[in-house]
Amino acid sequence: MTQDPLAGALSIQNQVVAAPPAKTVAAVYVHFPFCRHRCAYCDFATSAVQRIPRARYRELIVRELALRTVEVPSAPIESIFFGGGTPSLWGPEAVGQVLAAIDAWSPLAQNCEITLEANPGVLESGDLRGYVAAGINRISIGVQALDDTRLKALDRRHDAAAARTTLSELQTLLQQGLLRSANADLIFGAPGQDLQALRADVQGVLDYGLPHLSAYSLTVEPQTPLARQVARGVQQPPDDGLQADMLAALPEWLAPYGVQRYEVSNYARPRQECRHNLAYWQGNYYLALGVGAHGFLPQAGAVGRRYGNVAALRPWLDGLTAGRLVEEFQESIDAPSHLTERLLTGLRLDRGLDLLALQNDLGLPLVQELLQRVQQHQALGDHLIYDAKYLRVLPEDLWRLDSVIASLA
Amino acid sequence: MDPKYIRNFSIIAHIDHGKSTLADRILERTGAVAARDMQAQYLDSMDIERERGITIKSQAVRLKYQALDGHEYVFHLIDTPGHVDFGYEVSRSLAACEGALLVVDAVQGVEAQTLANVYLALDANLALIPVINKIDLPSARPDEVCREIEEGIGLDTHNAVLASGKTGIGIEEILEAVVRDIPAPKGEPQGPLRAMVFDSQYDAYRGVLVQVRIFDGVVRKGDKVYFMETKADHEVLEIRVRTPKEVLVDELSVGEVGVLICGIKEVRDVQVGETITHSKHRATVALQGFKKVQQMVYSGIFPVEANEYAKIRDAIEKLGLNDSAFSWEPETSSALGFGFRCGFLGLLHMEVFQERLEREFDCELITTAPSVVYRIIKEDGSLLELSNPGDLPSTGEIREITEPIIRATIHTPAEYIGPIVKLCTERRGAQKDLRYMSANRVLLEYEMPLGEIIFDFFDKLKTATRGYASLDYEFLEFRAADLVKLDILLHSEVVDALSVIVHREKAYDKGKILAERLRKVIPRQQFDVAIQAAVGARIIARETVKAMRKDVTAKCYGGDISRKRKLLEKQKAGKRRMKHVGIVEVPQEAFLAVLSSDDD
Repeated sequence: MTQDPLAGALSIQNQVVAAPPAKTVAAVYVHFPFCRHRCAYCDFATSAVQRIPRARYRELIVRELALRTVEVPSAPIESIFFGGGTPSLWGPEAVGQVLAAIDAWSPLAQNCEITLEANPGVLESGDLRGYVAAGINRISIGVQALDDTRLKALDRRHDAAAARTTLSELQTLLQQGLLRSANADLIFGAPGQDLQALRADVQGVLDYGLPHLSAYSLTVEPQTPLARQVARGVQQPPDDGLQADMLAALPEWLAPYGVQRYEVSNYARPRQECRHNLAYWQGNYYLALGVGAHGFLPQAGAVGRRYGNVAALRPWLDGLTAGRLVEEFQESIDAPSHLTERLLTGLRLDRGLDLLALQNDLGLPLVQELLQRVQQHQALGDHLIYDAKYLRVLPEDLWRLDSVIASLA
Repeated sequence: MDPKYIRNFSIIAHIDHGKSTLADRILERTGAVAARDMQAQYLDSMDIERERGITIKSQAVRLKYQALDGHEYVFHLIDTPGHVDFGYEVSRSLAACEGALLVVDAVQGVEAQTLANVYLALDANLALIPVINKIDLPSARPDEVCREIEEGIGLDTHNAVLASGKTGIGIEEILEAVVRDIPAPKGEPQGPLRAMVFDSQYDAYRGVLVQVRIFDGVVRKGDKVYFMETKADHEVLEIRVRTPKEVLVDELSVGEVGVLICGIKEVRDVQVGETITHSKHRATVALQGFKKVQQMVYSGIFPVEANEYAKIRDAIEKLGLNDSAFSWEPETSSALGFGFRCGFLGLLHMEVFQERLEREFDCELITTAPSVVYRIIKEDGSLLELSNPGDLPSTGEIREITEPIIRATIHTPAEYIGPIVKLCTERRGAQKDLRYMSANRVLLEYEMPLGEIIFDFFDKLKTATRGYASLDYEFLEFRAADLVKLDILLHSEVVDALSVIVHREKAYDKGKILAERLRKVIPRQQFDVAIQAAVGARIIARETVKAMRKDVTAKCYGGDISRKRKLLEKQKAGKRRMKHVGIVEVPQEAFLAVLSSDDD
């Protein structure tokens, strides 16, 4: 731990030997907006429709890829993530064709991580093998809970038995070496769940040998049915004190499985971290395709450009059918904005914010200024530390990370 | 000019009864303003006057009228401020006239301000011409309204004119009635000069424009004149009359109205109502009716962001240049930092002033709860005028607290008597009169503390009567009352800007409401925040804002980054605007909590 920010920054400077590498796009996110059912807490771009236009959506994704990559510097693709919605409703054939199109634009790296989100309730036996055959090598499954009452309270359509069936399939695929990794999502801190119940969920999931777990505290997002229910008083709001206790207890329960926290809500065995999500948290560029998808691409004269596709299905379909991109927002990211974003995401990581990368992107003065602010915070007793490589918030301050970030930004 | 052919008159009306539109028609008819140059409410020059439909500054215009008797007359139409807060200014403008048009809406009938203005006009011995306006409206009821005027006010309506400012009906008749029914001005043309100041305005280039009416003698350009109240000598550099275009003239004689420019720098150096005479041949007696203006309502004005202090000071100084009824001094609050204690004639005066600061000068303000002036007799016999509740001495030092009492006049349809009586009783009102003006119009008179009506009384009255009641009030006297200071403590620290003076019996309820309201607007912090309401050392209400136990976003992926950053930037901007009471962060809404209505 370095006490003098200038000395710290100096040692950073000394370590920079080569010119910063040209930043390229090595991550691709594909959004599949369809669900069988919309859950009460969900605020993603999804629509629950009767008939899913699988082929047409695939065709338009491929078209968007072509339109978006006209001037994007290509590099071997390190990660692809199919999110949603429920992308496991798309079918292996469509997924395989999208992968082929991406590969045609920019060859997938040898060890490219290719994730598909899946929901236990909608998977048929054998589905997962189909996706693996199509090229998927990492599955993220929305278990959320292993208790029927709580699944119902969360407005999920699957039951614990369906979740266990899928978990066991994943276990087999992992054992057979057909999957490189797998994740299960859990939601914690819903009214009615106590510490023991969460512990049972966590252990129940990891007993299937999964190398990765995402555990999210239930959050009342504005404009969701859940928010309206809470406002009307039909639903209890989550108890933030209990959620804080759960957040603090999780690492201890996971340790016996060799699984460690590496981000606020993500836990993995060593080298099993989700490479695609790390790209977000490390400030890398990523291409995003599909309804409501948000991307971050290089732009001349700025750190980059963020864009968000229109979140409504119809205008996206119509636009691409006519060969047009329909963006809901776009903005150039300048250095100060990028710094804020890097703090927002980088400090969520256990290892912290990569100061070297930050200096590469933004230059030394901004980093020095930041470290001076950090020192003021240290004087105020905030649990921030940094060395020549990383700035991080100590675990005891994780519960109030947002306010630490806000005061630094 | 021969006073025989001069007519000085004013238009008096309840708000919204169409005074300004009628004035517009008169200006058009007399050719003072061509129809093509006409903009609605010509005499109301400020945006805020047009929008609120009220006149803040007096305006006097000179009009020429060729009457049916074959003579050409000079009319001075003096437009008076249209609100109760400016009662004294109204009385001075009326004193400059011999007559007035009493405009009454043909639908609404007689209202509280109609009556208040009539009394002012009768005090000034004015001849009144009733004008029943808006008779073009289908629901006009001119006969009934005439009866209300006769029975309710006791005013003869044989000469009443039925008119419509909108269509122009009756304008000719009004102008003839002015010639016929309003007396010509009288005075001593050879006597020592006596001119009454009925308003003054500030002009960036020419200094103070002094509006005067000549009662005796003549004032000429270049004269040395003496202001009898401010006891200052000035030279008359210019004399102008407004037609409404400004025209230079060499002199003003008995009965004439015009503007003197004397190189005076601040409106404060001229008192409305004072008499101007010649420096050499002074009049011995000033004209009657001068009163020094007294601010009745005070409020703290603070910048939302501390670095705007200088900007707000400049703006207050600029607005103050043109408002002799406004007073201010620097104030420091431990919660709100550096700001200003500002005095106003009344509530509307305060609102208009604050609105102009915000709108014309783009200032962002936190205004503290308005307070009336309390007179405190201390144990040592000394008298203290208190305009800031935070400055109240400790109970041991106080022998007696007195508060301003007003006489409130409320006009209402009879069906709303119940709710009004209830409201006034809640506000410590004592009923002095209840009179039927006509079969279903009632006049209620109450004596009540001014402090009880400055929060939300108008709004409450409007709600209780669906907008049908009208209110007017005048100051009566200071009376002793059992008043206490209610303090609000956050995390055990008194928030000076939230202290209010209330009647002892109401302290408990008020404290409870305030504490609850603050709990709703103070965000959760990283520790429990106790909100307490206290009278002296006694805590009478307590609320807690529970500590935040978890403040970390669960999900932050590719699609969340922009949104989270914008949220953060918004929070940061919000944080800059946060005020600090000890270690507690307090949003500006908290300081408005005392202002909102009691039962929200």
